[in-house]
Amino acid sequence: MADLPQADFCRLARGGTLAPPGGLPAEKVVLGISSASHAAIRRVHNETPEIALSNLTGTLRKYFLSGGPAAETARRYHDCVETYIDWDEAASPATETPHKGAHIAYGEHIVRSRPDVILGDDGTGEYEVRVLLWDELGLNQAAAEVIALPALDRVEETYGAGKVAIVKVLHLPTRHLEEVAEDAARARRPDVEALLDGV
Amino acid sequence: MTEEALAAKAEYIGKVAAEAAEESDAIQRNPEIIDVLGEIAAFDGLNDRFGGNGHDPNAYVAALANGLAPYRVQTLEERPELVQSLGFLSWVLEAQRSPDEIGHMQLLA
Repeated sequence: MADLPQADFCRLARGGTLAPPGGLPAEKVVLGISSASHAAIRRVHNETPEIALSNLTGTLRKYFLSGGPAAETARRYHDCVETYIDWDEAASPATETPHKGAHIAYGEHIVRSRPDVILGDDGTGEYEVRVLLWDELGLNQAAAEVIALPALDRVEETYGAGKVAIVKVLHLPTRHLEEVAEDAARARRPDVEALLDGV
Repeated sequence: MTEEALAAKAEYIGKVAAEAAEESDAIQRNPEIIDVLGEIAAFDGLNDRFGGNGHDPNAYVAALANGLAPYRVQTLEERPELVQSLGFLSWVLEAQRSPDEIGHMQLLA
């Protein structure tokens, strides 16, 4: 039985492999960067982009100073947050910025689905769901549709069926966006199950 | 503590650290991490593992266990330094590192 966090599932969906237990050695010593960057995205919507960047750079300054791979990783994550702020433009208050995974079952498998941002539309009562990708693996429409399904299921489980207007999957390092409609994500259920069977 | 046991603990700590960077309930789902850190804090060979540079790694790990203890029942949000320290500890324990490498990385932890 597979029990995958969102990040691992997104890697698999794009043809990547699972990170070894404990993560990649080079990344392990800079996990604080990843944690701080995710918090910055939440802060864009829950506070302001300016405060988000201010807090992030405050946390990252010691990594910049250290040089080497830590500084390189810090720069990469900082650029991703800046890209997100620029792409997003509005910094609208979010309905939710989940910080823990919800267990979504596919057969005997679990994906701990954690969409990054859920934005509500007061006019339609529907939601825009955003999934952000931080790594170097590429993104295409088919992979985005697979990635979108657990996010869709997570939001519908919380807010009700038929409430998701769109799932946006954004690859931050390249600013590549794929938009996935509800039916396109649903059609990927067999692919999601097959992917998890293969773990 | 054998090298094998230390490697297993390092792998477990690294797994929890990686989860904690993405999911705020990682410590809640892995509460035994506090006991594992307690065992490592009591390990006599820890100073050698940290390069024997005169610092007190046993106190460092004990402090990390204390810092994480509340998150067995609360979500771990906005504490990147604790996540960072877990990752660093896993990295130090999983293989022999040179004192230079450790000296550089401990500035970040």
